[in-house]
Amino acid sequence: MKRWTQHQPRPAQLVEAQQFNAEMQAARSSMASLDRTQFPLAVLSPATLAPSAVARVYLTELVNGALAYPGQQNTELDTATNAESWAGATYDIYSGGWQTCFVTTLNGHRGGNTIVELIGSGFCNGWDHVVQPASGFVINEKFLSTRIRVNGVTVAEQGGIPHGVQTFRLFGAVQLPPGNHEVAVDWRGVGPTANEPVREYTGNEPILRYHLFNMTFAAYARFR
Amino acid sequence: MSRINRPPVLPGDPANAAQLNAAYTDFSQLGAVDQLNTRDSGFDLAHFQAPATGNGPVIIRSDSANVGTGDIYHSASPVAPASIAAPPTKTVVSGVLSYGANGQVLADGQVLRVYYNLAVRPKYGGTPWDSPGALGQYDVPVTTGPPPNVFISDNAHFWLVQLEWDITSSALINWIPVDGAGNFNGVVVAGRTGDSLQTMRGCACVPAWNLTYNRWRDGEVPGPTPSIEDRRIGWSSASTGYVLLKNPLTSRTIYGLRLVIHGIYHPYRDATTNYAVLDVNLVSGGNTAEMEYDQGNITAIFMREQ
Repeated sequence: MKRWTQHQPRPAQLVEAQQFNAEMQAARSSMASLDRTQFPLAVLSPATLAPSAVARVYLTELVNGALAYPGQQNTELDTATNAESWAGATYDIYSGGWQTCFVTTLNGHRGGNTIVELIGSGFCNGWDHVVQPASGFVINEKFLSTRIRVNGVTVAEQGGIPHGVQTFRLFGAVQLPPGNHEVAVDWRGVGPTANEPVREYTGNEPILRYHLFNMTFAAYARFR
Repeated sequence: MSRINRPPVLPGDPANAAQLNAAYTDFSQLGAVDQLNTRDSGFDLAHFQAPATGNGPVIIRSDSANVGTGDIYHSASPVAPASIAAPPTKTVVSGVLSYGANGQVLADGQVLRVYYNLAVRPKYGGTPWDSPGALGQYDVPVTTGPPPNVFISDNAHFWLVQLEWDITSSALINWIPVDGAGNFNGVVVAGRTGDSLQTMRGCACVPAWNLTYNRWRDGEVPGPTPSIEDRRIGWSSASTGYVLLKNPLTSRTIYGLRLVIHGIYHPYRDATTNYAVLDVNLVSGGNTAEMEYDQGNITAIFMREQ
């Protein structure tokens, strides 16, 4: 059965001449090609679609990686923290600034709009969030930021986790030309001031400040 | 090579009987409609409108379901209790995203994307972080004593909202964690129950509390009796996503998706691995801990990888 290509009649719709003319023209042109319902469904499969795909998903399941700490930040990891903690960023070894978690490549990109997405969890221990201007002490909020760079350009960035263990989702969109594109995911914790406790009083172990884990990166490309 | 080689009908051509009959004769040839005649740009809406073949141009299937109470006013919020013994007590959030009797197959070259959110509010009474045996008790020095040091929680306690699926039957009675996530029921390190940080896919973490001392100075807190500052955590959203590419995993037929809540967890580590372990010592001596929850939503998308 033929399908209307435009001007599909609806109940109680006003009729105009052009809708029939347009459909007549569509029907006539279809004589030179196959009517859409004449194609057997089996003629189209995911395998035949792939070469001319209009979209592609790139997925990096970081928790399946071969890293020492899969799915985690893997830079600035202090393994001197105590057992009731994680190997993560402490002020003993990390004093702030952007760090790159991982780099991946979007291969075979045909050009077009691309949504990049980072799903993960992180920890910021949240001490020293003091906001008391009258006290004369420095306002010194801590938070754990993340950002996604594509070919070196920041596409998405968030101020990030302000306290505790929290889950986040960071995403943005970018127009890309055809080719291979390098993606980098970075993190940054606010550095210390002179007032931070860096080590525990009794155990003298470095105090965990920041950690990222359970991360998955995905990109959804819609080709032109 | 195509067996239909007659010139096409062009705009303005007469639509006479002979021309139409010739075109229909072409199409009726045995094998005339094959891949050579139809590949690439020859496809049309009828093919893409067939979700059963998995041939949607991008999205194969998209579904959404509300979970939880549906109450946005937090008037009578259900509560998930903190576990006081292992394995963790898992509170099932009402509502399921169901795929019906036949389920939905995640086939070769397909991607499953799940996004969910749930309104949550961690609650506690007393000072559960100070309970005997509670994890994460750091001591920090005081400027003037006594005492020379005071305790503070490291703020690393957290609840988990976890995504589960049933890949056994449409009866929806065989719920297990999604691929890449553990069930947090087993002993993993130093006699403690939990899972490693690399087996937490589909989990959303919610901080249990947020504490600090005011006016840190030179790594110390002002004495002689510094008061801890307890910043209550209000209603927020436990929200995350789960992306699964079928290859190279084995095929999955998914019958339903749901959420469970359990906790409270805390970091733990050994020489090589970071863990999330259940802290069963928080609720004692009059200290309480629980998490309220309300409405939420699960959205799942099946799409082609390319």
